[in-house]
Amino acid sequence: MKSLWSALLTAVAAIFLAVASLGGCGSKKSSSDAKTAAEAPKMYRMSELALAMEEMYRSNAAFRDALKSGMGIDSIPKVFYTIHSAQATTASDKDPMYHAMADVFIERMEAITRVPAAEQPAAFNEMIDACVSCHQVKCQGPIDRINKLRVPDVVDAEAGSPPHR
Amino acid sequence: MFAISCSSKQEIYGDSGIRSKGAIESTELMPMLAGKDSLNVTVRGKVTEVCQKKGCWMDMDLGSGKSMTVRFKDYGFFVPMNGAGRTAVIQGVAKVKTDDVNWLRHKAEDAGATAEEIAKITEPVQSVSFVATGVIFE
Repeated sequence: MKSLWSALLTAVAAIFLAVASLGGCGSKKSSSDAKTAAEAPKMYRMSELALAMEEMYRSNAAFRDALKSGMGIDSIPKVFYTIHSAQATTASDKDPMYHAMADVFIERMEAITRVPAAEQPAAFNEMIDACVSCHQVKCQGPIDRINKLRVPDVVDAEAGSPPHR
Repeated sequence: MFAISCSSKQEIYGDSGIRSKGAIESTELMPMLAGKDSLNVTVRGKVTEVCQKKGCWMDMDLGSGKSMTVRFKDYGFFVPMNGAGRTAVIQGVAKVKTDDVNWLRHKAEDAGATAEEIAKITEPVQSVSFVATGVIFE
């Protein structure tokens, strides 16, 4: 009788172990986790420069709206001056040409604050030209978005009429 | 910058209002574009390549050895960089356009082409482009 009980217990234990090894909750979960990790979307994390560019974009959108309302720009936010030092997504993108174009961009930003209020919208659009020129070469993705920053219906000083009628 | 929502099977990037219902197959797009400059449409197709820098563009197979580049409206969202090989539904505007040399080189660089391969790109190419407001990865 005692040996019968022993055999029965051994059989139950064997069945339990077999079921567990064939995919009980624990093993099924770890298999599922491995699959999820393998298929997890690999998303871009913004670099310092990308984050700075986003902040510059927001500032310039606010400047454009101010200019459209007849208000002026008298100072440049500090973030604009990080354009040389902020870490880029691809370090090699920050070559001598990048830095030269960044200098032009900063110069045009500062020029906006130096001209009379009536000339600021045109100066602002010239700064946008500098953005687009650099992005044509370095990263074309945001160009359409950057062009939307332009102040519309700016009078061309030389022609004396709006340029896009 | 971008919106992601996940259900058990699909991921949505960009406009969360995108629906796959009514999507045409990508192989139907070229015939539908014939004689038009642009077309507002929802398309389902296989993603063949994704920008490896940021996920800021992807290529979708159009059949017959052709593909189109999909960019995302106002650079407002990105897609997974490991999305190649998956099926996606895109909603937005398809246009026939000319890709200039700078863009072709930028794209080749993002895709990991060598300097020698990039230097060989010297001519613009006419192609179909797509600006998506939303993307579903199925």
